[in-house]
Amino acid sequence: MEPRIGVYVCHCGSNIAGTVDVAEVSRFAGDLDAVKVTRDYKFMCSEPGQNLIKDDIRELGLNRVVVASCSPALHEPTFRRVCQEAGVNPYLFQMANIREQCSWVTEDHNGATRKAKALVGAAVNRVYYHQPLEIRQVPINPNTLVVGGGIAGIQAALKIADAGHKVYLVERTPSIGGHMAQLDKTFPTLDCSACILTPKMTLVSRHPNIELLAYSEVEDVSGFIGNFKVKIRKKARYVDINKCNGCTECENACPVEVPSEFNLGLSKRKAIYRPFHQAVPNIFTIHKRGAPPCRTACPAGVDAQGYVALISKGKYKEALEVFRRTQPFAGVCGRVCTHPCEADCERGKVDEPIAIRYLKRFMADYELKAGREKAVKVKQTQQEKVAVIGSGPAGLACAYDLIRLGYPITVFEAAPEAGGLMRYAIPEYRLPRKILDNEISYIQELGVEIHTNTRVDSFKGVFDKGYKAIFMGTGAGISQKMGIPNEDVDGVVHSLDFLRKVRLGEDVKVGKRVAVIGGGNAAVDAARTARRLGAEEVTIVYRRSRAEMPALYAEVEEGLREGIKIQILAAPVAVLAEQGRLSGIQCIRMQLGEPDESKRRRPMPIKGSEFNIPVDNVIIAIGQIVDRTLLTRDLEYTSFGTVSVDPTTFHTNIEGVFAGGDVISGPDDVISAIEAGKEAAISIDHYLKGIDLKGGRPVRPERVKNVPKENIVKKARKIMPVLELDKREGFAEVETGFSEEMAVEEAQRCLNCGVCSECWECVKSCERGAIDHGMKDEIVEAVVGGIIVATGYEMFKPRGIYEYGYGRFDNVLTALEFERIVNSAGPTEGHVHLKDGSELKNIAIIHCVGSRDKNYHEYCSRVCCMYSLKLGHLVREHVPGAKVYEFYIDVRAFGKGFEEFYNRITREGTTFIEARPSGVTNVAETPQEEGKLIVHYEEEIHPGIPRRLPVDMVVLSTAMEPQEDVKNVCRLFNINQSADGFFLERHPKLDPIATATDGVFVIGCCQGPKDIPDTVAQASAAAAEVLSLIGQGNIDIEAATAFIDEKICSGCQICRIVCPYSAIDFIEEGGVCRVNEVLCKGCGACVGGCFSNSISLKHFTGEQLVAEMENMLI
Amino acid sequence: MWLKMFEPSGPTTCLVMKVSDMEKELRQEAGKLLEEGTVDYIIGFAPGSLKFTTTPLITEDIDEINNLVINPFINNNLAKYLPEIPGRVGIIAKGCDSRSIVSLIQDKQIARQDIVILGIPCSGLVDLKKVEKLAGKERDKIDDIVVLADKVCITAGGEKKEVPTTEVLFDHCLGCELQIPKEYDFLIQEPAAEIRDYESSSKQIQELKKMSPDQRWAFWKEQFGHCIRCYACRQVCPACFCERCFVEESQPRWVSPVSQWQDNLIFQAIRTIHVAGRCTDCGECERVCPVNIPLRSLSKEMYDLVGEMFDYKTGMDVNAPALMTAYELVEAEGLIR
Amino acid sequence: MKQNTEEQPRIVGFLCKWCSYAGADLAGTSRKKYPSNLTVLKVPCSGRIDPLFVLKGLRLGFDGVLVSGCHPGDCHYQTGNYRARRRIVVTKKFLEYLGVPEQRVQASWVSASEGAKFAQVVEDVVENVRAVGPNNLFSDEG
Repeated sequence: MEPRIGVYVCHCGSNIAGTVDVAEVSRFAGDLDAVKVTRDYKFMCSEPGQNLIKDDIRELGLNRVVVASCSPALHEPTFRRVCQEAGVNPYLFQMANIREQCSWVTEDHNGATRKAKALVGAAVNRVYYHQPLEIRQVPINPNTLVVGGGIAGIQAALKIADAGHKVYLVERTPSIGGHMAQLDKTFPTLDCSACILTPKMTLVSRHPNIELLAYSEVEDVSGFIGNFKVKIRKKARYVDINKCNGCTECENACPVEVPSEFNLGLSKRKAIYRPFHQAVPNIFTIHKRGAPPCRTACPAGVDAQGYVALISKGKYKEALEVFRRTQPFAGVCGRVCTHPCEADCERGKVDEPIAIRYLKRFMADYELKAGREKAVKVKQTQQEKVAVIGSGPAGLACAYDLIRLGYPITVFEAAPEAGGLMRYAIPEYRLPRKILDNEISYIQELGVEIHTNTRVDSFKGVFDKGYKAIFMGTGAGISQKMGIPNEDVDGVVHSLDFLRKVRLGEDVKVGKRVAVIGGGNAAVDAARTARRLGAEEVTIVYRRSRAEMPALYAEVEEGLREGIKIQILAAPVAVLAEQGRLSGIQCIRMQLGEPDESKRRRPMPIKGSEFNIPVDNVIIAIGQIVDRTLLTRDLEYTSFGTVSVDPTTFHTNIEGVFAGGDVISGPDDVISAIEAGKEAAISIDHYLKGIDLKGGRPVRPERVKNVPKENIVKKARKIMPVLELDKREGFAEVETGFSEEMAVEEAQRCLNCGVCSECWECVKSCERGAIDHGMKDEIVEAVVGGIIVATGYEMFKPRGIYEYGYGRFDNVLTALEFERIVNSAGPTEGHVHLKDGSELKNIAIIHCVGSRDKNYHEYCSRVCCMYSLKLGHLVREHVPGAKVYEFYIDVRAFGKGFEEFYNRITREGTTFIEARPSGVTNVAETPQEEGKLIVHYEEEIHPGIPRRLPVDMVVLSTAMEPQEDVKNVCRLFNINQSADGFFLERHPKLDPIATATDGVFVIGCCQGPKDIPDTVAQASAAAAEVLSLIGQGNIDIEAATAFIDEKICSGCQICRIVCPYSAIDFIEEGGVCRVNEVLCKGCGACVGGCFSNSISLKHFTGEQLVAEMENMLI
Repeated sequence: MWLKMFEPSGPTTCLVMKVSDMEKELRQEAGKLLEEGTVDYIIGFAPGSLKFTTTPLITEDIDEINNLVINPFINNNLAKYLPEIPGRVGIIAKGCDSRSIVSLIQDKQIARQDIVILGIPCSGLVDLKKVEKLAGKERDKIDDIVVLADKVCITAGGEKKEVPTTEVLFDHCLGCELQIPKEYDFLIQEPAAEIRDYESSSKQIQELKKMSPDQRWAFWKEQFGHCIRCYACRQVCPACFCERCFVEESQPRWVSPVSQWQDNLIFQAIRTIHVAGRCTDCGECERVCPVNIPLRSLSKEMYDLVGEMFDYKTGMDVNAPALMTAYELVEAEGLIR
Repeated sequence: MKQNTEEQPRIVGFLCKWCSYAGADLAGTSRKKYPSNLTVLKVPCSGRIDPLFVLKGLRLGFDGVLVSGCHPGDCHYQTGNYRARRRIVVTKKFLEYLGVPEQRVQASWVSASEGAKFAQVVEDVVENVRAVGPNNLFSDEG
């Protein structure tokens, strides 16, 4: 059909005509090809304007229409409908945007007219090539998703559910209620917020049509209006929603306290909590932020936060139970552990790390002092016997874990007593034998049999005795040699032999002068032991600097106090001997070069710098190696001379034999040996049960990422008391341990990084067995026809406005904080007083904090005036006679009943001061100002005169601002933001709750600041929108979809890969692609990627776009 | 590889080459594939009818296998033929050919399981135009070309001339990035001599880059004034596999079908953009251009451009996504406002 | 040969309808002022833009071509702008090599809330293109 085009140029009053010569544009259009009629008219969108088009279509037989007016975002649907009503396919219409993108953006009349002509010319040439398209329909799913459980979401959900349709109400916090639940009274009627809100919350929880998904978040949205597919993550509450009856026993048992979000940090809540008493659903939730760093840093994975939390509550027995879940050596590790947990402690970023090791020691000592109850023997549930060779920390840790799994365990130890290096290498003054004995007895009481003085010669022998698996924890028992002349001369001893003899009680003699070679704990232990045995001059010779010494810092310090000398940057080159008798050592000075593999700087000898140290004894403590002659020759070793094992399973090359500890790692610390023993225990269990050794091993929990450190008062770490130097006789223990008071105080410094400490006290307390720490997040999938987004707002954080003193002065509060304070269920149970408890006599309320302020938000938050007046009223209600000053810029009392409310408050005697205060200080200039906060301001009516108002308290009426993650929500639901950051509605007046995405509505404060009545009205409106949608049954879908000319498709499938909607299928037969029009959303990404242009996008064809471009140049 | 086979045993022309060990091995393997029915066709090179040339051999006949040759004149990028041959195909592939094959697999034009790649190592191919220029004679008058590892002996009219090998190899071979195919089913295990001269390989591009935009435009304007729109470049390019080229589209008409420099230039510019991430710098477009437009100075620049911007190298990994189907969250920083 | 005129430069802009076109509308509703040299084509997504449009624009005689879409990560169609980005930058850089001044081919990310940014982009683009003079690329003379 020959195109017959009508062109209509709108004046839009003077909006367009004021800048563009509309008559000229209209004349110009008249000369264009195929244009049959052109008109300009005052308001094309008005009824008469629309009729102009309709009449022309009928009378002049137009079959294509161009309207040059505003943005198509506004009136394209209007004019498409006009065309359709007059019998022209709505896609044979094109709009030229000569207002938003032409007349409004320039004052240049000529330029604007020229541009308008170009746009109209382009539109005319484009519409020439338009094709009629058919609008298709798909059925609408009658379910609805409401996101956000504040009053907006509650209202919308109830309305839709009442109409008989299913609603998924998703709320990300544990309870619905939103900000309204935090309010005390609501303006202007002053009714109690809880009284009007909680009945609605209860209705939600009982409504058969509402599926309440609290503590859940929408994770993914796909599809389109009528058929959105949503994925909702139901976060694990670790509490069974069906079993919990809200009895609060768990809350009482929980030792962890963190700031309560609901009370804005003004009070504490537990790790297992319910945000407020009337929460819906009225059940508890455990807050787990992740694994605390102390736990992830510990090689053995000991849950330090758990026992620290319990110590802080005086539950020492329970604390030790938590420790023993992982390993048995609280007393030992509490003394000798290298405590990597403390290095990673988040408290260290505030002041100093928690003294985790000392707390561990405290609870072990506490038990010992109180008298330990005999441990209950573990019931043997497994048949297979396991042998452990070596009773050091690795072997005993392995035995400990396996006995608790029900296996019969026998430990074989060659030495007279169990404990390995814990017993024979660590001196008594560091680790008293009664501590070790106690912990080994504990293991024995559980059922582990220990055979001492029993050397094992071969694995075969063990297997022959019926043992099904062996753990080898034989350690590294041979002292390393220095390889220097005269090393074997009399008087040179190795630290391990030296320490062992001392521990065995042999009569060990040392000379007056002793040199100890090495810088590890063995060296320091040997040096201090030598000192205790009577050596007068003990010198540690170490080849690097003090900073590189691997020994524990505190040990070195104590050694120095005891008179040990350290010769740093020196290495022995020869032992000096006279007549076969030791006379001294020759050393050479070293300097530090580049860092080596251990990241420590490599020591290099300085030529010619040799010097002699005369000594009577030399103790060598430069490390130990594994005795390879033990057991079988078939065992594989690494190039370092240690037993070779699989790094995950600790399995050796010999079937059924596992190894761990120093025998595989070389000399290392106790905690690492324990880790190896534990890992091997897992493997042995798997091995004996015949399951994959590598699969199904416990996963290391992920370290918590962000630990909030606001409002933490710095507090020093408790210092370990030590024995006075003059009291260090013999081998008395040097460190004397924390007192109970010290321990509790120290434990209270813990930041509770993971929130829940996994101490399991709640599990013990819950009679209904509702608590399950192993609970996992669940994904709920739903199909919905419409989505209502009611994600709310955040309160502006006034910390950024330094001059108002928030965060610096105790009695500067935000309005919402004050709201909690006046609330009878709040942190002060409704008692209004100053932070220190003293009486409040006067209060200043500053309006527009963060609103109407170019530096923060330019918009008015709409509710602050009224809530400020309300708070003023509440102050006087709670503290009769208190003076209230309201600092305002304007009082905006625009709502129903607001002006009356304002008048009422004025009559009550509140003082109104028209001023934006410049700051709040606490510097008194007169006696009256002493101890007060001073508000500085200039009155609007007396500018230039600085004034001061001393008050007791300042309340900041803060702005509403978009939620922090508003951008993510935008992305998720395809919503745009307006310039203020809130969600953008489709039209501010005529479509105020719809968005650019069909079927997605925004209500309440996520769309912009508003009060409760407006929010509820919007919520009801959204319900009406959704119900209207459901009522329609079907919905028109995009007609401008892509299509493929299969004759020229080369089947490269780029289109299929780039399509975000999986709307393109590859047809094997024919080797071409095909578009599924129902799924296609018409983005055209496929078209842009198709080089042969075998795909085209309807209504945006190459031909149409080129035609548009061509005429733009006229 | 073949550098060795020309070596000591006296003058040997390429027309009467000895059958090298490599060729023997190749023929044996190719023959086996046909015989056992593993493939339906073999694509390789056979001696050409003119001196110093070869011609593609596509055969299902086992007797023709003995015509397969490997020498420094096996120019064609045989990958071009793959999408058109039905059934399973065994293809002889130099490094660059293998990259085109991989690229075609990425673009779903062929299926990996239908192709048996017989990889051969390659030290570079001889550009006869360069030889002619050096000898000062046309190819008919040249008697012999002997390629040694680092030098080439050209005998013409009894006169013998020795030149460095880098002076006779194709420009693109001087910048070769894959001498031995990475993707193959069978590979002739011979090392390839590394003969490289990166500077000469992209000499013209560097010179063009030194010019002002106006000068560059003027250069290309002049070049495309010669274009006769024979489409030989498109015909020979394995990356040009569209069923219908945008040039032939009539709604809208993107470029005029008539040869005029403006449209010739646009045609080539768009063609180069379309083969971005598919072009392996095999140099065939330039070799076949009858009017000697330096087309490789376009395609190679594009090759380098996508390499730099997106760290993309065509045809190195069958499992990698094709250039235009992938993106990084952050890339091309600073190019968009 | 074209000379500088009052109307010069003429720039064609391809704007995605969700972000950049809405941003351009917002510039209008907030009465931001910018030069009238840019005329806009609305496309569903920057991913729709083919390098052909860029060359076609220049061949038709536009002095500059602008492509604008949603910010990376904000595409209404999820990934269209990522696709567009590769195509556009390849085109821009390659045309630059051919001798088309880079100012003639420009791209921007403008969101629906960036009315002011859109006005600024137009301001900048117009100034940039004006600096390289009228498009005589395809003229037979010179």
